[in-house]
Amino acid sequence: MTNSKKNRIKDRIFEYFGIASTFFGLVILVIFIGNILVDGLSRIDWDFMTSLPSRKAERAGIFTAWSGSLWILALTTLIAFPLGVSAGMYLEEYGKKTSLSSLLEVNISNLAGVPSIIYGLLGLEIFVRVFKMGNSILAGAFTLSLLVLPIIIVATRESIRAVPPSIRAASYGLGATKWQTIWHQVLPSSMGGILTGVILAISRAVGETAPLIVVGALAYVPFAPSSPMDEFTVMPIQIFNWVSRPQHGFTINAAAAIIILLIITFVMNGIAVYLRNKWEKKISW
Amino acid sequence: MTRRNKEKLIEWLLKSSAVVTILTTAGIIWVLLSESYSFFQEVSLLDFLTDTEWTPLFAIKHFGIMPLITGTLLTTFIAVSVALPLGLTIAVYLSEYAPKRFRKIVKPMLEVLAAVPTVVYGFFALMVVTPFLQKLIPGMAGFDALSAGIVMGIMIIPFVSSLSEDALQAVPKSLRNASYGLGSTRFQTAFKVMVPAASSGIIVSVILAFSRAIGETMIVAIAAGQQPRLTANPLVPIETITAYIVQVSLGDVPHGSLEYKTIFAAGMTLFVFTFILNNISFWVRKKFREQYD
Amino acid sequence: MTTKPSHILEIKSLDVFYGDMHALKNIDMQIERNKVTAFIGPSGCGKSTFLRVFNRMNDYIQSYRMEGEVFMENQNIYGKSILVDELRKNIGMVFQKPNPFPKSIYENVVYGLKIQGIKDKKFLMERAEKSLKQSALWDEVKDDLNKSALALSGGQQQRVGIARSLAVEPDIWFLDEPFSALDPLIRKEMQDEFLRLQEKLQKTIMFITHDFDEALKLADRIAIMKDGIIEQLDTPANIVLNPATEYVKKFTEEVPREKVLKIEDVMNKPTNENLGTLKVSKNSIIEDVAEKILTQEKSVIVIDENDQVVGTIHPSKIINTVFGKKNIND
Repeated sequence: MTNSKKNRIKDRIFEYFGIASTFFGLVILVIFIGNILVDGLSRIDWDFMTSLPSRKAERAGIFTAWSGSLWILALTTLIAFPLGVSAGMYLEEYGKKTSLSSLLEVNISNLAGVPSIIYGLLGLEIFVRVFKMGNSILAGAFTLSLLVLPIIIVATRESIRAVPPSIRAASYGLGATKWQTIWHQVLPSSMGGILTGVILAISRAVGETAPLIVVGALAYVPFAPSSPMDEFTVMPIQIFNWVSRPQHGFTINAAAAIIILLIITFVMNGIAVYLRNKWEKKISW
Repeated sequence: MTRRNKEKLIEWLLKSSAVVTILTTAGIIWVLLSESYSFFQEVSLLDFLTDTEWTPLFAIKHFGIMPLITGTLLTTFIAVSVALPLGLTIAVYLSEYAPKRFRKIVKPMLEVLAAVPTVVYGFFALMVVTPFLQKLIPGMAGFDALSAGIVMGIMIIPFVSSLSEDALQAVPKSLRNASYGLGSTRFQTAFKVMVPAASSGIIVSVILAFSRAIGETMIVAIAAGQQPRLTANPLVPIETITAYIVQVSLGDVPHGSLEYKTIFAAGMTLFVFTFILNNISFWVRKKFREQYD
Repeated sequence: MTTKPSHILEIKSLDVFYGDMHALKNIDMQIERNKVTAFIGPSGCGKSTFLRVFNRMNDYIQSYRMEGEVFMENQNIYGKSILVDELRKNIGMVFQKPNPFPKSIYENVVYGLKIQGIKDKKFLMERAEKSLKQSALWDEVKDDLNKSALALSGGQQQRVGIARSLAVEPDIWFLDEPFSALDPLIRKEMQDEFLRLQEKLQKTIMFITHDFDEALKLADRIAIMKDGIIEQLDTPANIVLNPATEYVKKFTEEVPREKVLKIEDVMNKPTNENLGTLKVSKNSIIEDVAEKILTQEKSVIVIDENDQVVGTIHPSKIINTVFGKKNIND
C-alpha cells in the first residue's frame, strides 16, 4: 500500500472517529435523560409538587425544595445583579489602565477558577458565623452571589465593550457627563448582553449544591421558608438526599425531581441563548 | 448635591462593587488560613502530609491528607483520560473537518453537557454507570472512582473541546493552506501542523479541565464513596477532598472542634492545588501568546 | 458698558502631541465671532485635532497632550476650575459619520436638552420641531418622530445629528466634514440650508471640509492647514489672490477667480461716463453676475446694501478678470 493511500485511510478513519466522538457525549446524555424520564416522569403530579418531604417515599414531595430554590434564586439575583453590573461598569468605563484595574482583572480570572465548595467554606465562616446570619437563605444567597459574580461581571464588560465609541462621542459632545452617558446610552444598549449573563448566572446557581450544603442548607426541611432568615433546602440538595437513600421509592423521587430541575435549567439556558442571538442581531450599527 | 459630587459618589459606589471581588479573594484566603493555622496547632504538618490514614471522625483519629489527595487525583485522572482524547478529537474534527454550519449547530449542543447540574450527573453515575460497569467487571464495588471519573470526564468534554477548538481556530490560516498546498491530508495537517501550532491553547484547556475535575464535588460525593483510602485501584470506594467536606457539613460536627477545622485544612489543600493549576495556565497562555500577535 | 471682543476664541502657542507625534505646531490664532471659519488641508494635517481642542473632545485620547493656552470668551478652557461638560453645552458638534443614538428621532434631538435637566414636554417638542426644521428634515419625519433614527438613510441620519446639535441652541457650532458622507444632491441642498441658517442665526462656526469649493461657498474665512501648521488664515479672496506660501499657492492654483472675487474687488471708481441702467450689488460674487454684466455694452452701476452708488464696472473688466493677466489692478 502506498504511503498516500495509507494517509487517506487514516484521514477517513479519523473523520468517522471525530463524528463519533462529537456525538458520544450527547448520545450518553440522551441515554441518561431517557433513563430518568422512564424512572421519574410518572411520579410527577400535583401532589409531588406540593408535598413536604417525608420519611415515606410515596408521600414525599418537593415543595420545600423548589420554594427554597425560588427564594435563593430571587435573593441571589437581587444581590449579584447590581453588584456585578456595577463592578463591570467600573472596570470598563472608569478604571481602565490603572494598576487597580489590572489587579481586579487578574483577581476575577482567578476567582472564576476556584471550586464552588471553597465558596461554601467562605460563606460558612463569614456569613453564617461572623455576620451571624445562621444557616439561613440569606447566607446561602450571599455565598452564591459571590460565586456567580464573575459571570455577571464578564458579561457586563463584554456588552459594554460592544457599544460603539461614536455613540459615546456624540453624547459627550452634547455636554453629557460620564454618568449621564453611561445611564442614558451605554447601559440601555448593553442591557441585552447583561441580561443574558445574568440568566446564565442564575441557571448556574439553581444547580449548585456543594456550597449550600456547607453553608448549612439542610437535607430535611419539613416546612417552606417564609423569610430570608429561615433555614432551607434547595432542589439539588433534595435530589442528593434522595439519591443517598437506599429505598427504590426515593430513587424514583430523585428522578422526578431531576426532571423538574433539568426543565428549569434548560429553559433558562434556552432563554439566555435566545436573548444572546437577538441582541447580537441588533448590533448592526 | 452638585453634579460634580454626584459623579464622584457614583464612581465611588461602582469602584466599591468592583473591590468586593478582591474582598472575596481576601476572605477566602483569610478563612482557609486562619482555620488551618488553628488546625495545625493541634495536628503537626508532618502528620498531615505523611500519615496514610484519614479518620478524623472515628474514635482513633488519623489526620493524614494523602488518602483524600489520592482519591481526588484518581478520579481526576480518570476524568481527564476520558475528556482529553474525546475533547481533542472533537476539537480537531470541528476545526479541521466539519463544515461551518455543522460546527455552528454542534458547538452549543456540546455546551449543554457543561450546563447540566452536577448532582444530576452524580445520579447517573450511581444509578446507571455503576450497575453497567458492575456487569462488565465482576467484583466492582457499588461506590468507586471509575464510574464517578468517567461521568466527570463526560461533563468536562466541552471544556477541552471548546478551548482547544478556539486555539486551533486562532492559528493563522496560512499554515493550514501551506500544508494542504503540499498535498497533505486533513489528518496530517491537523496533527502535524495545526495541533503543534495550537499546543499552548490546548495545554491550557487540559490544565483547566484538570482544575475543574479536582474541584468537582457532587459527582464524587454521590458515586465515589466515603472511605478515604490510599489506593490507585479505581474499583473500590474512596473519598475525595470535596466529598469529605460535604460529609462533615451534613453531620453534626460542633463549630470550633478539631473535626470542624479539618474541613478547612482539606479546603486549603484543595485551594492550593487549583490555585497553582490556574496560575500555571495563565502563565502558559501569557508566555506563548506572543506567537501569533 | 463692556463690549464683547470681536474674537470669541483665542489660541496662544498651541502645541498638541499624541505621544511622540507632534500634531499641532505652535499655533497662534483668533476666531472671529459670528463668522464662519473653514479649515481645509490634506488628511492628517491636524484639522480634526484642532477643532477638538476647543471642546476638549481630545481629552479622551490616552496619548493626548497639549501645551499653550486656549481662551474662550477670555477664559482659559484648560483651567483647573473648568467643568468640561458645561463647556460643551455651549458648543454644538456635528460629526463626519452620522452617529445617531439607537433611539427614536425625537429622543435623539432632545437628548442634549434632557441631560440639562429640561423636562417640560411642550418645550422639548417645540425645540425638536424647530431644530428639525432648521436641518431640513421636519417635513420628512414629522409624522414618525418615534421611529428609530437608525432606520433612516445616511443623509437623514446626518440631518438628525445636525438637529441634535442645534436643539440646545449653542452660540458656537463645530462641524467636522458634515456633508462629505452625503451624496452630491443632498450635499448641495445642505450647503444651501447652511447658508440660510447662518444668515438667520449668526453663530460662530468652525467647520472642516476637504472640498475647497465648499469652503469658498460657505466660509467667511478659510484656514489652510498642512502638517499641523496653519499656512494661511484669510478671506477666500485673499487666499486666492495673495497666497502666503507655496503650498497655499499650489492649493489654490486651480480655483477660478470668478468664484472667489466679489464685484467690489474689481470695480472702478464711480463715474458718470458711459453708464447704463443696470445695477449690481458690490457683494455679489463675480461668477453669479458675470452673465448679466456681459450682456451690457455700457458700464454697470455698483451699489452697496443701502442702495448708494459705490463704483462702476465695465464688461471688459469682467472678461479681463476671468481670462486676463494675474494682475487686476489696472
